[in-house]
Amino acid sequence: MGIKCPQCGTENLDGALFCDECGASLSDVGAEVEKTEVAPAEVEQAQELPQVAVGRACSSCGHVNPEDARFCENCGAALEEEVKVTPPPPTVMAKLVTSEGVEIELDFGSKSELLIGRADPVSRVFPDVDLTPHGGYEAGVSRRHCIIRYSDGKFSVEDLESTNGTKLNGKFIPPKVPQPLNDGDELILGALVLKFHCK
Amino acid sequence: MVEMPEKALKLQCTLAKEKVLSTQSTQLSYLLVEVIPVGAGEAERMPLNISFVLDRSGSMAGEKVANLREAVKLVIDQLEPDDIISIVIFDDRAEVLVPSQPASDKEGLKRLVDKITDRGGTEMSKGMRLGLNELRKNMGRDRVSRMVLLTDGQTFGDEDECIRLAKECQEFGLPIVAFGLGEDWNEELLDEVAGATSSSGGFSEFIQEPSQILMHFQDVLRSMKGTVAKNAYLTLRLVQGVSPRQVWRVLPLISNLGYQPLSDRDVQVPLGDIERDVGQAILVELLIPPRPAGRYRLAQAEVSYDIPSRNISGEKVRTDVIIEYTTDEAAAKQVNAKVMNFVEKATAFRLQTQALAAAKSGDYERATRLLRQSATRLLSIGEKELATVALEEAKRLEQGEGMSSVGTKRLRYETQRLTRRLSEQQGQE
Repeated sequence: MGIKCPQCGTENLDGALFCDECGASLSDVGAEVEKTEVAPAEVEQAQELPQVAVGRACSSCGHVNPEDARFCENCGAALEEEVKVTPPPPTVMAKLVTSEGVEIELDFGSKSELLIGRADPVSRVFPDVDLTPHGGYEAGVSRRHCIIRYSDGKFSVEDLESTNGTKLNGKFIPPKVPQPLNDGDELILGALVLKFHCK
Repeated sequence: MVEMPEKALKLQCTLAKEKVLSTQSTQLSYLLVEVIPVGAGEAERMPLNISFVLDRSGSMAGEKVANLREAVKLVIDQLEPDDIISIVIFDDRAEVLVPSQPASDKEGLKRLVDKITDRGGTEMSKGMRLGLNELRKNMGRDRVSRMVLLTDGQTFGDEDECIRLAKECQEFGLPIVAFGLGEDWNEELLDEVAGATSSSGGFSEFIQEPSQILMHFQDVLRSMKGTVAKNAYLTLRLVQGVSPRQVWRVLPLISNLGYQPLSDRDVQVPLGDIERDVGQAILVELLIPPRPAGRYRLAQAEVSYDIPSRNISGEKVRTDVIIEYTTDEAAAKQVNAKVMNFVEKATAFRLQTQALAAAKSGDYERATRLLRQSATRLLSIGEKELATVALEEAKRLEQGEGMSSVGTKRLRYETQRLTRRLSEQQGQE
């Protein structure tokens, strides 16, 4: 088996995504990239395993594993069928409202920050919130204008050295320094006026 | 039942392919280990201990030294009264401009910074030695410490002493952030100096224009202030038959990490400080053996860390890495997009590193080829500008001109930042 690089002919191991020698993409040869990312709910929560090994013999290698082990410590074989799935974290409710009253949902999903800017396929900048449909280009919004971050139950906004700057409640904020963002605050990106609301 | 307090860090392990074919041969599997800070807000701030070791040699005259003064003064403005600062300036001599002290008298400190003027030659080791002395005066384990080194030139014959001092810093767990300003400094020396402290979080960086000093110093300060855990280690306990091939750090910066084999099945990677909002991500290439269809554990990942402000030492989080061997060919073709993206960026970084090494050893043909291949990867991840730099350098090599100083430095330092969303793209605005 193995994957032969279409570019340079080097034999790569099965599973390789890029050629070891020339770095060419091997994914067209062997794989399809998922369009969606793994939701955090599918990832197991960190869990302490007890140090003492009390009787749970592995059916394939005989190794004695701790009582609550789900996979053999020695050979990795499954000791029980199902892996627990934890419920998804509660979603964050926040939105930006334009001066025309259009509401833009801030969908954080599993992310802690959203890039606000203007999509540009040429330089391949695709912000999480694209302000092009809301007059972003005319108003001088940069492709990578600012970030709205959510951590520890608080929102903050950080200007990414945008060309025309970001104003928070009428004042320019210094670039690259996160500022607290509260319900009802006014943001002006370039000349685009937005109201921030959160629950 | 006693309720356990929430841990400060979360471990998230994602495989490029959760399902692989149950074949007869060894396969390559990519594992992304993300160390993500949770909970713990601003109140957890740890006091800082920062020492600036600054080149004030004659070549710093004018715009460079003026920007440097403003950048240091802005940092002073943002320090808390219990943070410790010291400033050392060096040319062919070195002096302690600000001895290690709390940043309480900000106006007084800024008046001293205004006295930095240019003069003389460059002997970096003298500055580093004084900087280390000042840092050691206040180096509790509860403080977040950094030496911020800035130079714009070649040091005079004391390279070995610089590296020795960097290793001494590493013994104290003290990261060096080394900035090279302009075109005429020695990136191999700065890489080695900062690299000696990389497992504590040290790194080197290129500042092309004096006006960018401010932004880079702000980055250092923000990363120090955002430290949520210290002295972190990642341990991977691999099951029988699984072995590591390569370990990369992919966040906050890309670097090829050495790893210490604890035994033939365990891998340990020092992570240093963990920063809020960024965390760290490690990409591990694993060789996995053929298995019959079914679900298996590949490894157990564990991160241990200290939080001195909460009196926590050696706290651990663990998670299992599970893979499914299948006979369903379609299912085995699914690749996780996020892991794929990190693998591609690490590949671009690797090609560029190999290209620079080939150019240095005089193998221009290989260097040219590798530069073109790295340009392909850079284009594919949307780094148009950097891809252009790689192609231009390839062309220079082909025409027998040798690589340019700026191009070499940009490739070297900007590819390490591929996984960060930072201001390198400002030229596109």
